[in-house]
Amino acid sequence: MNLRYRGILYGSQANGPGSRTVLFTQGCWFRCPGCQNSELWPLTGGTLALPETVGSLLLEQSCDGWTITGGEPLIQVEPLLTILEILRSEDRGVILFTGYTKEELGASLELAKAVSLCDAVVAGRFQQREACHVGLRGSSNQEILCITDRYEPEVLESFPHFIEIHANPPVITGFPGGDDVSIP
Amino acid sequence: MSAYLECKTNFDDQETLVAALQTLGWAPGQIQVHSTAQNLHGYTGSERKQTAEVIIDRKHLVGASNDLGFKRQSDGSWKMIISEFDVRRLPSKFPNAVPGTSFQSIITQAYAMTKMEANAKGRRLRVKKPETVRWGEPIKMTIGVL
Repeated sequence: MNLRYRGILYGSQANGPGSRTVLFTQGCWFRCPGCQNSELWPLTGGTLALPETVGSLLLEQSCDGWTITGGEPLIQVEPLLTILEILRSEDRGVILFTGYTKEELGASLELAKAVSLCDAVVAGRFQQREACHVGLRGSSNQEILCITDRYEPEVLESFPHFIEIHANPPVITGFPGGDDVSIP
Repeated sequence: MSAYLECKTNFDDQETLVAALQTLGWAPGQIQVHSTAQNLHGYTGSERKQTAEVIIDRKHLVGASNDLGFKRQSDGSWKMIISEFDVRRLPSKFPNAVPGTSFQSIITQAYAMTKMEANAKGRRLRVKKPETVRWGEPIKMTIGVL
């Protein structure tokens, strides 16, 4: 099964520790109010590609680790599992952002398997009224789950919020701030 | 989720466009702003058929350049008019750009940075940006409450 994704950014420092390659999947059914990425909600659009092809693209440039976000990556869990297994063959960290809560992730074998292939998972819907200034999360209700000991919880909990303007592709990414601060 | 906003490669605001050109090093006096579109000129000084409202004269670009123009579109956006020669040569004007970065990428980054900064300041938000920018690399900006 193919994966529908919106873009891949290389060399991002705004999506987790170190220099990361970031995969933005296309499609999300949670549609959290205040989400910065409403253009990534539709289940159509973006690029459709074999997970092996996406995996190759993610391995194309050197990085300290990968961040998989969206959209909601786990609504495409089947191709995502293939990608995660490709990335797991490398000794680098994988961080996954999902709108599913810890409890929901544990209630599905497939979702739990995807989680087990990550080093850290940021779980839970974005709550606009709980938008926060710091930590690798958009809102304070979201849980940072350290699945392995690759990342120290304190590092992820204190991750600074900032944005990056990339040139190729021309994209603004990252976490803008907190409270009512959104990307203008 | 962290943000993923695709920057428009057509520019949507004249004031931001002019400010972005200034960010790239052109002095205000080098950026012509006309209420009606004017003909651009080629490297020999000959008039070209293309017209634009925002123009940088070829003498402020690189050697043997043609005028660089930005033409207002019917939907209010601005389209860059740049010669094939300048597509290849204009990036050399920016020694601090990552080699291979196109002028389209450079001005798109400058425009996005200028627009974010202006909008954030308009909303009384604090903006922290790098003192020097290496065009082509991600530009890191922090936006926060004052």
